[in-house]
Amino acid sequence: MNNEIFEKAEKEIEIAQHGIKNISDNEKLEQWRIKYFGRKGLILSFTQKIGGLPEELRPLAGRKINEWKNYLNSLYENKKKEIISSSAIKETFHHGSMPLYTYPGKEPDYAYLHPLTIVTKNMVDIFKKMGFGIHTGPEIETDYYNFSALNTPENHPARDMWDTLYLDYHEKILLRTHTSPVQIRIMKKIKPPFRIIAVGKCFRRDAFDSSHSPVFHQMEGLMVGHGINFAHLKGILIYFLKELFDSEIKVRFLPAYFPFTEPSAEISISCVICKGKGCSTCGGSGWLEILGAGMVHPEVFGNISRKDPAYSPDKITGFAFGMGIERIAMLKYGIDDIRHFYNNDIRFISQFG
Amino acid sequence: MKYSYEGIREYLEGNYSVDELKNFLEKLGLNPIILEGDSPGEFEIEIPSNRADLTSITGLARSLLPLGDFKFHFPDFKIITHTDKKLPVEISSYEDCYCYAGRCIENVKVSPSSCWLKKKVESAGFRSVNNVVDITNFVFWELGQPMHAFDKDLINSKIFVRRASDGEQIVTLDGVKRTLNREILVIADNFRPVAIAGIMGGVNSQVNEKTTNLFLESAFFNPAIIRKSSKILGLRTEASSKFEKNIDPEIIVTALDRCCKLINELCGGETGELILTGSYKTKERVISLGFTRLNSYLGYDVSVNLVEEIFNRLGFQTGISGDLLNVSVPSYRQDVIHDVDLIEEIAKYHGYEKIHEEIPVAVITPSEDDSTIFFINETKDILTKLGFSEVINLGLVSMDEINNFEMGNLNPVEILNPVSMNFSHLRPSLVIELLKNFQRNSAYKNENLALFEIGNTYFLSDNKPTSDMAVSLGIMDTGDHSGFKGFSTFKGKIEYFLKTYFYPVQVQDYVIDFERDERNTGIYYNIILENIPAKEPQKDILGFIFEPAQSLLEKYDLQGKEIFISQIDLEVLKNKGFLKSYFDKNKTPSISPIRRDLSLVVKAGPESEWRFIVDNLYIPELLSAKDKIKIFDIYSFSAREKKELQKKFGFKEPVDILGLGISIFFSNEKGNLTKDNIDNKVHKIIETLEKSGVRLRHEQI
Repeated sequence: MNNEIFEKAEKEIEIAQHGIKNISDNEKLEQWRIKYFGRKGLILSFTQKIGGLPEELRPLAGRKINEWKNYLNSLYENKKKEIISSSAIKETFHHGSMPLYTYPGKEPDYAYLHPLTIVTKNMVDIFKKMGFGIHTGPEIETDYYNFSALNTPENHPARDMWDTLYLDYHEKILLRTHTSPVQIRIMKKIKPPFRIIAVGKCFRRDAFDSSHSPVFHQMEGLMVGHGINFAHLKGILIYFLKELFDSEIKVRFLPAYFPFTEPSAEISISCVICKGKGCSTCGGSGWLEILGAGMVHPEVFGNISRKDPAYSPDKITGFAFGMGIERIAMLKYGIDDIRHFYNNDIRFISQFG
Repeated sequence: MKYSYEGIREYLEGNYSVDELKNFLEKLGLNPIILEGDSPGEFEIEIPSNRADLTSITGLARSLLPLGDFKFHFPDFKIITHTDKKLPVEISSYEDCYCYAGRCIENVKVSPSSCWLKKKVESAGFRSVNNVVDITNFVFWELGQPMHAFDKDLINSKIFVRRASDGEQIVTLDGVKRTLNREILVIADNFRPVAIAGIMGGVNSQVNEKTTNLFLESAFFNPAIIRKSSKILGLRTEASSKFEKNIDPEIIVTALDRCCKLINELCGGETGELILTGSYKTKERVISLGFTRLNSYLGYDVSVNLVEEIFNRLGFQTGISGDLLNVSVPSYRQDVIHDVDLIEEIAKYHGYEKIHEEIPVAVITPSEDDSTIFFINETKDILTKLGFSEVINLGLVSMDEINNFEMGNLNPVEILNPVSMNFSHLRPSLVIELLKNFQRNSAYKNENLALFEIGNTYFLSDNKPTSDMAVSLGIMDTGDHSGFKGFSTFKGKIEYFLKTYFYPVQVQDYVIDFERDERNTGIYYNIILENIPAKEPQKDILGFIFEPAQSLLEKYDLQGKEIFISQIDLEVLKNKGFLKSYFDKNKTPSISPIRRDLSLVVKAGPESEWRFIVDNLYIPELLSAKDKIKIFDIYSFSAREKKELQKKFGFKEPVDILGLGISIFFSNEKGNLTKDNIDNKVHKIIETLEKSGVRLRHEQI
């Protein structure tokens, strides 16, 4: 009779051992656990029976219970581990018969830099490779830095090239119309030879439409030293443009007029859209005007050399260039309206990361 | 200026097609633009402001001479004088008017122009008026000298070139009555102004169908005076824009004679003798250019013959002495002053494309970059890592927009000549445009946004326009709509952002605090940076977090949106913060830390007290820099719990309480990480907290 209890229990253990083999999910495993470890489960109900056993059998029963408990527990723990490792495949990606892995994933919150920042960085990187230093200057400028020091004295007709926004007529304070004032600020600060670029916001009294903006960004370049010549200007700019756009583009230099450079050049690249065949972007000409440049005018050096003889136009020469960053970004990405840059629609900004 | 192939051919004989002509012009940087509606041979050229000589057909034709085998035809200007009629001329200042030439023509017949003349002046862009006026405009187009014809009988006995007196008036040919002042130069007779010098004639002396006697004017005025007068009057004419540039002084009499000749031919009449006041002769200008300099400037060798030929064809006299080329510049090339101007002529006619390209051999000058750029780029990287996308705004706003925000005494900078009233001021704060960015994005249903902008804010400081670099960050609907979560997510990002500048070196050195400031337009939470170790603790206002009021959001069609915008002064961050990567051994201890969680009950008070609790534990006998505290939960109790806890801890009824869950990670290797040691420390921490009024609810090991 007493042995029967043990045998029955042993059988139950065998069934439990057998039963757990077919279990493959947590729900059934939990049912199995309750069946054997629960309040009415095998272990507890057997423990309750110990009291009814003869004195001499009780230690044996205690040992047996511990043995079974440990055994069942190890079965349980092993199964649990097995389910965890297998369910990662079976359950996470399947819900019943639905293949969840084909469903869209949860997108993270991306963040983007403004395309003007990205293009500026591209441009700066190319000049950095050639050892150019990067500088900035104030957006609020004086007439002296923006015009006079750049060989554009008051009442000079060339001033009409830059429609200026004024902040104080009396003190001649204005919003810089180009980044060229940085040239003067740099030459007053450092001695030649040097090569620098400057980037920043510029302002002009322009309407805000698809091709004009009262605010835009420019990159300025200046290289000054002994024996710097026009061939160098061409070399640096052609390298820059081919790096920025495509090594296959053609670059064209034509005469132009700027008061602060002589000779001056207007530089175009073969149209990036039609490859020079002629299209609406290039107005049918096959060329896109992209930057203005030239050899620094001796009058500009003269303005500096009055205080710093290192800038005497007899001793040094230099070239300067300037370009609109919006224009470059528009050509690089095929953007048709300058206002996109300032509307700050995230659908626009997020296209350039 | 408008030109045509046929027109140019009359003055430049040679074998060239329309396309070849366009190529010539392009080579000289005179990009011919074909306008809609023009015939194939017609085009517009934008003349550079230094090249007044190109604003006439003869000047343009002459500039093409070095480019081919051409014959140049200069117009015939020989006249025969038949009368000795003169009009006395007096120039009040030769500073204002260098030279004034004129001739009288008697007995002309004023009538509508012939077809030929009408077509000529109209294709040059003038309106045909009558034969006399049309001839003056034709000569202007042909030789580049603006001319004016007066009805001599309407001029009272003498011509004065003088400044107008203040308040003097004249009705100009466009029918507008204009009030003049001392800055403006006029042509006057004995009684009144009869023309605004170099800009426009007066109705009172206008040539009309009854006119029989003419006085023709050809003058050279100070360009600066004409430019100024034109600006003051807001009146720009073909003549004024020509006079603003340096015209060819030596053409004055030639043009006058050419004009008289044509009038005699087409309108009859007898021409009088030349009246000339002042001198039109210019000093001979000789510029020396060294060939060594020329070649080193362009970076290639040009032959002496080629250089001489270019200049000779352009009408420049040349001579060579040793390495020097001496060039005598004709009066019509006022733009050629320096040797580099000669270099440009050579480069241009030889062709920019012939100059080779070369990467310069340069001295390495370690570039000293402006640290601002490095700083801005680093900051942009930090912000994109935090999930904010970059925007760039114009920085131009209206006064109404500024007033919407009630930001206090901003002293915004006004633009004196704005493009439009929407762009009348420079932004005093980045917040204004960032809110507009949310408005636009919201209109396109772009939800859950986090944006930032780095740029200048502008204000008057001692009445001087000044700018300051700032960053603004904003979120729209990125929280879970329970209000507090959105704010705390945003604040957490702001704190993290600031910590990257102020916490890396010494945790204890800086404290960031928030102060609430409620306005009608929203709530400003001012961000205060306190520098603790300074002898006298220093407080800097770094910026603010702004929570716009619903009334403000409604103005931007953003009602119901959860929006927070912050602005932070980047100058302070740049000057006081430390943006450096470094390795801190304390932050990477080699042993696994031991964690203890404390559930605390604290009095619900100003926010700063929460931080105070945590900061107070970093004292040597409790926690080292290697140890770490984290607040993992802030919760409010149910009414029942609150009552129980208030009773348990003996809080007096009106005191509100909150729950605060903190984790402490002990990593200090020196102080043995034994259970006893940790228990001891936790015990001390609890004692410290209790001294400041905090109660321990329970501790979990």
